[in-house]
Amino acid sequence: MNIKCIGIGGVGCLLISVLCRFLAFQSAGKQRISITLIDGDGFEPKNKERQSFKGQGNKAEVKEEELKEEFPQILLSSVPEFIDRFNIENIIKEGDIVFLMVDNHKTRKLVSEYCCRLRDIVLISGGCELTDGTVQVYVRSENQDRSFSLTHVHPEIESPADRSPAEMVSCDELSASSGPQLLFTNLTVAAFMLNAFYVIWIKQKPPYNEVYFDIMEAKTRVIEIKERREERKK
Amino acid sequence: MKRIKVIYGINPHHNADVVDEMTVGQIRARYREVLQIQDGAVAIIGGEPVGDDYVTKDGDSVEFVKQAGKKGWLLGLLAINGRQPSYAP
Repeated sequence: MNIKCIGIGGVGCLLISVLCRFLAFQSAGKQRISITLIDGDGFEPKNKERQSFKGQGNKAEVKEEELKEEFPQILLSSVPEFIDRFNIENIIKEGDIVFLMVDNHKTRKLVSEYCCRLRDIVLISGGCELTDGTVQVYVRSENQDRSFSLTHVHPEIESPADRSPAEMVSCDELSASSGPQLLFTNLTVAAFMLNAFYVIWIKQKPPYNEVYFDIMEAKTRVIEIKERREERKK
Repeated sequence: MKRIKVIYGINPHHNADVVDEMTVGQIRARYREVLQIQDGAVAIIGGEPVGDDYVTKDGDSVEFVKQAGKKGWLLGLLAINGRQPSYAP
Protein backbone atom coordinates (compact mmCIF):
# COMPACT_ATOMS: atom_id res chain seq x y z
CA MET A 1 0.00 0.00 0.00
CA ASN A 2 1.47 3.32 -1.12
CA ILE A 3 0.11 6.41 0.57
CA LYS A 4 0.91 10.01 -0.34
CA CYS A 5 0.14 12.76 2.17
CA ILE A 6 0.20 16.18 0.53
CA GLY A 7 0.23 19.13 2.94
CA ILE A 8 1.60 18.67 6.45
CA GLY A 9 -0.21 21.52 8.20
CA GLY A 10 -3.00 21.66 10.74
CA VAL A 11 -4.97 18.79 9.20
CA GLY A 12 -1.95 16.84 7.99
CA CYS A 13 -0.20 16.69 11.38
CA LEU A 14 -3.30 15.28 13.04
CA LEU A 15 -4.16 12.83 10.28
CA ILE A 16 -0.72 11.37 9.70
CA SER A 17 -0.04 10.43 13.32
CA VAL A 18 -3.34 8.58 13.60
CA LEU A 19 -2.97 6.97 10.18
CA CYS A 20 0.50 5.66 11.06
CA ARG A 21 -0.72 4.26 14.38
CA PHE A 22 -3.65 2.54 12.69
CA LEU A 23 -1.61 1.04 9.87
CA ALA A 24 1.35 0.06 12.04
CA PHE A 25 -0.75 -2.15 14.25
CA GLN A 26 -3.80 -3.07 12.13
CA SER A 27 -1.80 -4.42 9.25
CA ALA A 28 1.43 -5.35 11.01
CA GLY A 29 3.29 -7.84 8.84
CA LYS A 30 0.34 -8.32 6.50
CA GLN A 31 1.47 -5.92 3.84
CA ARG A 32 4.17 -3.40 3.15
CA ILE A 33 3.04 0.13 4.04
CA SER A 34 4.78 3.09 2.46
CA ILE A 35 3.87 6.66 3.37
CA THR A 36 5.37 9.67 1.63
CA LEU A 37 4.96 13.12 3.15
CA ILE A 38 4.96 16.06 0.73
CA ASP A 39 5.24 19.73 1.73
CA GLY A 40 7.54 22.54 0.65
CA ASP A 41 6.80 24.68 3.69
CA GLY A 42 8.77 25.13 6.89
CA PHE A 43 7.30 24.97 10.39
CA GLU A 44 6.57 28.40 11.83
CA PRO A 45 6.24 28.87 15.61
CA LYS A 46 3.03 30.90 15.04
CA ASN A 47 1.34 27.63 14.02
CA LYS A 48 2.27 25.74 17.18
CA GLU A 49 -1.26 25.94 18.57
CA ARG A 50 -2.43 23.64 15.75
CA GLN A 51 0.66 21.85 14.50
CA SER A 52 3.03 19.54 16.28
CA PHE A 53 6.67 19.43 15.17
CA LYS A 54 9.63 18.47 17.31
CA GLY A 55 12.00 20.83 15.54
CA GLN A 56 12.49 23.58 13.00
CA GLY A 57 12.89 22.80 9.34
CA ASN A 58 10.90 21.54 6.42
CA LYS A 59 7.59 20.12 7.65
CA ALA A 60 7.72 16.92 5.59
CA GLU A 61 11.27 16.11 6.62
CA VAL A 62 10.82 16.91 10.31
CA LYS A 63 7.60 14.88 10.52
CA GLU A 64 9.18 11.97 8.67
CA GLU A 65 11.97 11.77 11.26
CA GLU A 66 9.47 11.95 14.14
CA LEU A 67 7.27 9.19 12.76
CA LYS A 68 10.18 6.92 11.80
CA GLU A 69 11.15 6.71 15.45
CA GLU A 70 7.66 5.87 16.60
CA PHE A 71 6.57 3.60 13.74
CA PRO A 72 9.56 1.66 12.39
CA GLN A 73 7.11 -0.81 10.78
CA ILE A 74 6.16 1.80 8.20
CA LEU A 75 8.38 2.80 5.31
CA LEU A 76 8.37 6.60 5.59
CA SER A 77 9.83 9.11 3.19
CA SER A 78 9.46 12.80 2.43
CA VAL A 79 9.48 15.21 -0.48
CA PRO A 80 10.36 18.75 0.73
CA GLU A 81 8.60 20.45 -2.19
CA PHE A 82 5.20 21.92 -2.99
CA ILE A 83 3.44 19.74 -5.52
CA ASP A 84 3.20 21.36 -8.96
CA ARG A 85 2.78 20.42 -12.60
CA PHE A 86 6.48 19.70 -12.92
CA ASN A 87 6.88 17.19 -10.09
CA ILE A 88 3.40 15.65 -9.84
CA GLU A 89 4.25 12.70 -12.09
CA ASN A 90 7.14 11.78 -9.82
CA ILE A 91 5.02 12.03 -6.68
CA ILE A 92 1.63 10.45 -7.49
CA LYS A 93 1.72 6.98 -9.05
CA GLU A 94 -0.79 4.39 -10.21
CA GLY A 95 -2.54 2.65 -7.31
CA ASP A 96 -1.68 5.30 -4.73
CA ILE A 97 -3.93 6.44 -1.93
CA VAL A 98 -3.61 10.22 -1.78
CA PHE A 99 -4.57 12.35 1.20
CA LEU A 100 -4.78 15.94 -0.04
CA MET A 101 -4.64 18.47 2.80
CA VAL A 102 -3.67 21.72 1.13
CA ASP A 103 -4.94 25.26 1.61
CA ASN A 104 -5.66 26.28 -1.96
CA HIS A 105 -7.99 25.25 -4.78
CA LYS A 106 -5.30 25.60 -7.45
CA THR A 107 -3.47 22.58 -6.06
CA ARG A 108 -6.76 20.68 -5.62
CA LYS A 109 -7.53 21.18 -9.30
CA LEU A 110 -4.03 20.12 -10.34
CA VAL A 111 -4.12 16.93 -8.28
CA SER A 112 -7.73 16.09 -9.17
CA GLU A 113 -7.16 16.47 -12.90
CA TYR A 114 -3.96 14.44 -12.72
CA CYS A 115 -5.70 11.65 -10.80
CA CYS A 116 -8.49 11.57 -13.40
CA ARG A 117 -5.91 10.46 -15.97
CA LEU A 118 -4.71 7.48 -13.93
CA ARG A 119 -6.10 3.96 -14.06
CA ASP A 120 -6.35 3.27 -10.31
CA ILE A 121 -6.27 5.94 -7.65
CA VAL A 122 -7.92 6.95 -4.38
CA LEU A 123 -7.97 10.67 -3.66
CA ILE A 124 -9.32 11.96 -0.36
CA SER A 125 -9.30 15.75 -0.11
CA GLY A 126 -10.15 17.84 2.93
CA GLY A 127 -10.36 21.54 3.61
CA CYS A 128 -11.94 23.89 6.10
CA GLU A 129 -12.74 27.42 7.01
CA LEU A 130 -12.74 28.47 10.66
CA THR A 131 -15.60 26.26 11.87
CA ASP A 132 -16.86 24.34 8.84
CA GLY A 133 -15.32 22.21 6.15
CA THR A 134 -15.60 19.65 3.40
CA VAL A 135 -14.16 16.24 2.60
CA GLN A 136 -14.34 14.96 -0.99
CA VAL A 137 -13.61 11.40 -2.11
CA TYR A 138 -12.58 10.51 -5.64
CA VAL A 139 -12.02 6.84 -6.48
CA ARG A 140 -10.99 5.51 -9.86
CA SER A 141 -10.39 1.83 -10.52
CA GLU A 142 -9.74 -0.13 -13.71
CA ASN A 143 -9.95 3.14 -15.64
CA GLN A 144 -13.49 3.83 -14.40
CA ASP A 145 -14.62 6.64 -12.13
CA ARG A 146 -16.28 5.25 -9.00
CA SER A 147 -17.12 8.75 -7.76
CA PHE A 148 -16.85 12.27 -9.12
CA SER A 149 -13.71 14.39 -9.33
CA LEU A 150 -13.09 17.30 -6.96
CA THR A 151 -14.09 19.80 -9.64
CA HIS A 152 -17.40 18.20 -10.65
CA VAL A 153 -19.87 20.43 -8.77
CA HIS A 154 -17.27 22.91 -7.57
CA PRO A 155 -16.64 25.76 -10.00
CA GLU A 156 -14.41 27.38 -7.37
CA ILE A 157 -12.01 24.44 -7.79
CA GLU A 158 -12.55 24.11 -11.55
CA SER A 159 -11.63 27.78 -12.01
CA PRO A 160 -9.57 28.61 -8.93
CA ALA A 161 -9.08 32.27 -8.12
CA ASP A 162 -6.10 31.60 -5.88
CA ARG A 163 -2.53 30.57 -6.45
CA SER A 164 -0.67 27.51 -5.30
CA PRO A 165 2.22 27.94 -2.85
CA ALA A 166 4.59 26.91 -5.63
CA GLU A 167 3.51 30.02 -7.58
CA MET A 168 3.85 32.46 -4.71
CA VAL A 169 6.84 34.69 -4.97
CA SER A 170 7.52 35.61 -1.35
CA CYS A 171 7.25 34.24 2.17
CA ASP A 172 4.99 37.19 3.04
CA GLU A 173 2.55 36.26 0.29
CA LEU A 174 2.61 32.66 1.43
CA SER A 175 1.99 33.65 5.01
CA ALA A 176 -0.84 36.08 4.16
CA SER A 177 -2.66 33.56 1.97
CA SER A 178 -4.02 31.60 4.90
CA GLY A 179 -6.44 32.88 7.51
CA PRO A 180 -7.13 31.95 11.12
CA GLN A 181 -7.91 28.33 11.81
CA LEU A 182 -9.21 26.26 14.63
CA LEU A 183 -7.60 23.04 15.79
CA PHE A 184 -10.99 21.42 16.40
CA THR A 185 -12.07 22.05 12.80
CA ASN A 186 -8.78 20.63 11.54
CA LEU A 187 -9.40 17.59 13.72
CA THR A 188 -12.88 17.10 12.27
CA VAL A 189 -11.54 17.24 8.71
CA ALA A 190 -8.85 14.71 9.61
CA ALA A 191 -11.43 12.41 11.24
CA PHE A 192 -13.71 12.46 8.18
CA MET A 193 -10.77 11.81 5.85
CA LEU A 194 -9.67 8.83 7.92
CA ASN A 195 -13.25 7.60 8.11
CA ALA A 196 -13.43 7.68 4.31
CA PHE A 197 -10.13 5.81 4.07
CA TYR A 198 -11.40 3.13 6.45
CA VAL A 199 -14.61 2.59 4.46
CA ILE A 200 -12.63 2.29 1.22
CA TRP A 201 -10.22 -0.12 2.92
CA ILE A 202 -13.03 -2.33 4.22
CA LYS A 203 -15.63 -2.05 1.46
CA GLN A 204 -13.42 -1.26 -1.55
CA LYS A 205 -15.74 1.54 -2.58
CA PRO A 206 -16.14 5.21 -1.70
CA PRO A 207 -18.46 5.97 1.25
CA TYR A 208 -19.74 9.14 -0.39
CA ASN A 209 -18.69 11.74 -2.88
CA GLU A 210 -18.64 14.60 -0.46
CA VAL A 211 -19.47 15.47 3.12
CA TYR A 212 -19.93 18.94 4.56
CA PHE A 213 -19.81 19.67 8.30
CA ASP A 214 -20.18 22.59 10.67
CA ILE A 215 -18.82 22.18 14.18
CA MET A 216 -20.79 25.15 15.53
CA GLU A 217 -24.04 23.39 14.63
CA ALA A 218 -22.72 19.87 15.29
CA LYS A 219 -24.17 18.88 11.94
CA THR A 220 -22.98 17.08 8.85
CA ARG A 221 -24.51 16.60 5.45
CA VAL A 222 -23.52 14.02 2.87
CA ILE A 223 -23.97 15.33 -0.65
CA GLU A 224 -24.82 12.56 -3.07
CA ILE A 225 -24.02 13.35 -6.65
CA LYS A 226 -25.12 11.57 -9.83
CA GLU A 227 -24.75 12.21 -13.52
CA ARG A 228 -26.37 15.34 -14.94
CA ARG A 229 -30.03 14.72 -15.67
CA GLU A 230 -31.96 15.51 -18.78
CA GLU A 231 -33.31 18.92 -17.95
CA ARG A 232 -36.88 20.07 -18.09
CA LYS A 233 -36.58 23.51 -19.50
CA LYS A 234 -39.12 26.20 -20.07
CA MET B 1 -48.81 25.77 -6.45
CA LYS B 2 -46.25 23.12 -5.56
CA ARG B 3 -43.99 22.40 -2.60
CA ILE B 4 -40.24 21.91 -2.83
CA LYS B 5 -37.33 21.80 -0.37
CA VAL B 6 -34.41 24.19 -0.63
CA ILE B 7 -31.11 23.17 1.01
CA TYR B 8 -27.79 24.92 1.40
CA GLY B 9 -24.97 23.69 3.63
CA ILE B 10 -26.22 22.38 6.95
CA ASN B 11 -29.01 24.97 7.09
CA PRO B 12 -32.39 23.47 7.93
CA HIS B 13 -34.40 22.51 4.90
CA HIS B 14 -36.67 25.32 3.80
CA ASN B 15 -40.01 24.07 2.67
CA ALA B 16 -41.06 26.44 0.00
CA ASP B 17 -44.37 26.92 -1.73
CA VAL B 18 -43.58 27.97 -5.23
CA VAL B 19 -45.64 28.80 -8.22
CA ASP B 20 -45.73 26.48 -11.20
CA GLU B 21 -42.96 26.83 -13.77
CA MET B 22 -40.51 28.20 -11.19
CA THR B 23 -36.95 27.55 -12.25
CA VAL B 24 -33.88 26.76 -10.17
CA GLY B 25 -32.53 30.22 -11.05
CA GLN B 26 -35.65 31.89 -9.67
CA ILE B 27 -35.42 29.80 -6.51
CA ARG B 28 -31.75 30.70 -6.19
CA ALA B 29 -32.61 34.40 -6.42
CA ARG B 30 -35.42 34.08 -3.89
CA TYR B 31 -33.29 32.26 -1.29
CA ARG B 32 -29.89 33.86 -1.96
CA GLU B 33 -30.07 36.16 1.05
CA VAL B 34 -31.98 34.08 3.54
CA LEU B 35 -29.74 31.03 3.04
CA GLN B 36 -26.62 33.06 2.17
CA ILE B 37 -26.09 31.06 -1.00
CA GLN B 38 -22.68 31.80 -2.48
CA ASP B 39 -22.46 33.02 -6.06
CA GLY B 40 -21.90 30.20 -8.50
CA ALA B 41 -23.07 27.42 -6.16
CA VAL B 42 -24.05 24.42 -8.28
CA ALA B 43 -27.65 23.22 -7.86
CA ILE B 44 -28.43 19.52 -7.60
CA ILE B 45 -31.77 17.73 -7.53
CA GLY B 46 -31.82 14.07 -6.55
CA GLY B 47 -28.03 14.17 -6.63
CA GLU B 48 -27.92 15.36 -10.23
CA PRO B 49 -26.54 18.76 -11.22
CA VAL B 50 -29.13 20.96 -12.91
CA GLY B 51 -28.90 24.32 -14.62
CA ASP B 52 -30.68 27.50 -13.54
CA ASP B 53 -33.28 27.02 -16.26
CA TYR B 54 -34.40 23.66 -14.87
CA VAL B 55 -38.12 23.81 -14.02
CA THR B 56 -38.81 22.34 -10.60
CA LYS B 57 -41.46 19.75 -9.90
CA ASP B 58 -43.64 19.24 -6.87
CA GLY B 59 -41.62 17.40 -4.21
CA ASP B 60 -38.17 18.30 -5.60
CA SER B 61 -35.32 18.96 -3.15
CA VAL B 62 -33.09 21.64 -4.59
CA GLU B 63 -29.65 21.57 -2.97
CA PHE B 64 -27.13 24.31 -3.62
CA VAL B 65 -23.67 22.86 -3.05
CA LYS B 66 -21.57 24.90 -0.67
CA GLN B 67 -18.08 25.80 -1.81
CA ALA B 68 -15.42 23.34 -0.73
CA GLY B 69 -13.55 24.25 2.44
CA LYS B 70 -10.33 25.94 1.59
CA LYS B 71 -8.51 26.76 4.78
CA GLY B 72 -9.59 29.88 6.54
CA TRP B 73 -9.03 32.15 3.59
CA LEU B 74 -12.32 34.06 3.61
CA LEU B 75 -12.26 34.46 7.36
CA GLY B 76 -8.63 35.46 7.01
CA LEU B 77 -9.73 38.41 4.93
CA LEU B 78 -12.20 39.41 7.65
CA ALA B 79 -9.42 39.21 10.22
CA ILE B 80 -7.16 41.33 8.04
CA ASN B 81 -9.92 43.92 7.93
CA GLY B 82 -10.09 43.89 11.70
CA ARG B 83 -13.37 42.00 11.92
CA GLN B 84 -13.15 38.87 13.98
CA PRO B 85 -16.10 36.46 14.00
CA SER B 86 -18.08 36.94 17.19
CA TYR B 87 -17.43 33.36 18.26
CA ALA B 88 -13.66 33.54 17.83
CA PRO B 89 -11.78 33.03 21.12
